[in-house]
Amino acid sequence: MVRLADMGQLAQLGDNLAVGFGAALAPLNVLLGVVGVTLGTAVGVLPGVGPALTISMLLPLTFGMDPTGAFIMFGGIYYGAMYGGSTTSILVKIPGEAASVMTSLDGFPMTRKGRAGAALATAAIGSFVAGTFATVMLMLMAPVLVEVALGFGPSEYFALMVLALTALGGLSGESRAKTAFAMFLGLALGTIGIDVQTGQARFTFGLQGLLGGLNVVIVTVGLFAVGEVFWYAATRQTIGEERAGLAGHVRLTREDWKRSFPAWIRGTVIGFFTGILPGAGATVASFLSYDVERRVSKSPGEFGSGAIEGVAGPEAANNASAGGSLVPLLALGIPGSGTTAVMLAAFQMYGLQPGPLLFSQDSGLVWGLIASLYVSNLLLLVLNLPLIRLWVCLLQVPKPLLFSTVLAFSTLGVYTLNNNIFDVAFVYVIGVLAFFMRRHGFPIAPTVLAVVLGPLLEQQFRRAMAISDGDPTILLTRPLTAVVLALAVAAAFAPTLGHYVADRRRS
Amino acid sequence: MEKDRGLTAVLLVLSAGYLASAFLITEPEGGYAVVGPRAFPVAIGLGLVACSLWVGLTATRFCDLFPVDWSGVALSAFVFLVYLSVLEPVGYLLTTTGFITLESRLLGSRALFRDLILSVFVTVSVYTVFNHFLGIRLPVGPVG
Repeated sequence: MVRLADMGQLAQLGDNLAVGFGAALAPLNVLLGVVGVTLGTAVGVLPGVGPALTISMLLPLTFGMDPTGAFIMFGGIYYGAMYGGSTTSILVKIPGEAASVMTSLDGFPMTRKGRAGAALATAAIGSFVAGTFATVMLMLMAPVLVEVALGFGPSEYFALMVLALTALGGLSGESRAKTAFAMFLGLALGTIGIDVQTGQARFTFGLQGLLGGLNVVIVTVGLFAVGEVFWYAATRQTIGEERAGLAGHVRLTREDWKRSFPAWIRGTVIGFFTGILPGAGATVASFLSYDVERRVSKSPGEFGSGAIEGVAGPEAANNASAGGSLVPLLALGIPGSGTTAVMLAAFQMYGLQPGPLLFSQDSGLVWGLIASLYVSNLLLLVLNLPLIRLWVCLLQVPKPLLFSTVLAFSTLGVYTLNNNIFDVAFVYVIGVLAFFMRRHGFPIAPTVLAVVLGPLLEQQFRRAMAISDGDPTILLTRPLTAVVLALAVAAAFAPTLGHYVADRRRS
Repeated sequence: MEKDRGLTAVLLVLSAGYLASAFLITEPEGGYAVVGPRAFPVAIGLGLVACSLWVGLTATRFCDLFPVDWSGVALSAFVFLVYLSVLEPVGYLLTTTGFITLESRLLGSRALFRDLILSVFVTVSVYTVFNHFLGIRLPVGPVG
């Protein structure tokens, strides 16, 4: 009986994949996939431009497109950026993405030793291994989670969103207090506009343009693009940049393969499961992977001066985490990173709500996206290994020209949302806010995530209270809600408690 | 390192301002909502105030780590503001070409001719794609 059920599920999976590949391999969608991975690799290579910003900038342009094609392009951008991010970490000392910081610790020393080719090769092949594994796991796990999620009520969704927000320590910057403040700031920005349940205007200050609330594109472009350019203008004379060239062939020796393979596998597993956790993301995944590699290494002293495992593990981990973070986004509608938060906004823009029902109502889109990730991975391997010298040329683009063009293009993206200069003015205000956040060490990603999650969190809480007739004990009496909320409390306080215990032990 | 009292004061003022505004949200009378529109913003306001105090207790002066070129950022921000102000009346093509060239110079580029050529190329390409392929009309200004 069990076997028959398993066979049935396998057949269903096969059917879904066939539908997905049918959509992903349609000529226009293949073209969009190629555009996505090419753009993604480019933004990964270029420091200061990330996948969240790129998807935000492209959102207004995809209004008229078929959603399946648009999401295939977005998926390509997300995976591509993770591939491309390693190039700057290895060849330039400034990582293109926060998730690539760990890669630079050993990647750049390898370049200085004339082993940039090996570092780039282990990063690209590791990314392929991790991306493929993560997509297989996404394909297997998301439907299971969907089955579980069908039984979720508003209180469970509320608890999961609280967990996503309290786990934001993973996106942490200089201090946990500042991360928490950045998260509450995002929640506060999310309350601007008309309250959907009562029609009451909140924090609009009489401005008509604020009645509809803050568009996520405006917030993302303001925080990431405008803030980044202002920061560059303020610090370009003081922050130096160390570059080294790409010498030799992009390939691995037998010894490199032997050392890289176990690191790829460990990084992949760590990355995927870290990616699933709300709020943890690629940065934590790459950090954990680097730490594990150093601990299991026979020569830990080599780390920091060019150990290939220090590149292979974190690169596999940050790619696998991208696949992992799509699991809660697609199955529950809960984003776990800045990029998936923007993707959630994209779903909302198309009038789609990610979550259990998406799998039954828009299975072509979901499975098309999953199938396209396999195609993207293959395309990325081709783009990143033989054509690596082409991407290295991108590093020659002068930063002043790059940043001024990004600023102009971002403005255009926001303007075309509603052909409204008010939106652009708000981007400016948010950009100034982002500059001061960076100046004082506040991380940006928690704010973006909270802007997206805030309105949903409030909605689910109020629904839960409506169901329980205003009785807050519903959050404790429903077992899953109580467990998830307990995990959220643990996620919020465990690091502080850990530091306290460690300090006590030391003293 | 020294605690950042100035930052804490600013955060507290902003947080208290948000909290006070949250309390001013009127709850609709006779509504069916069990939880009104005020509750969530008040909770967020309290969270902001608590986090401001936490920052005050724990965070040190991060801003001292990176010396900032204030004139550079102010000029850059001013040029961007001017660009936004004249985008609609002057039109996309002229303002964006001028903006990219000028902003690049402010950000440190010294290749004026190259920047001008590239900005014309980027601007005209984007304008053509938007107007002719995507059907999105960009502000034309006097040249249209």
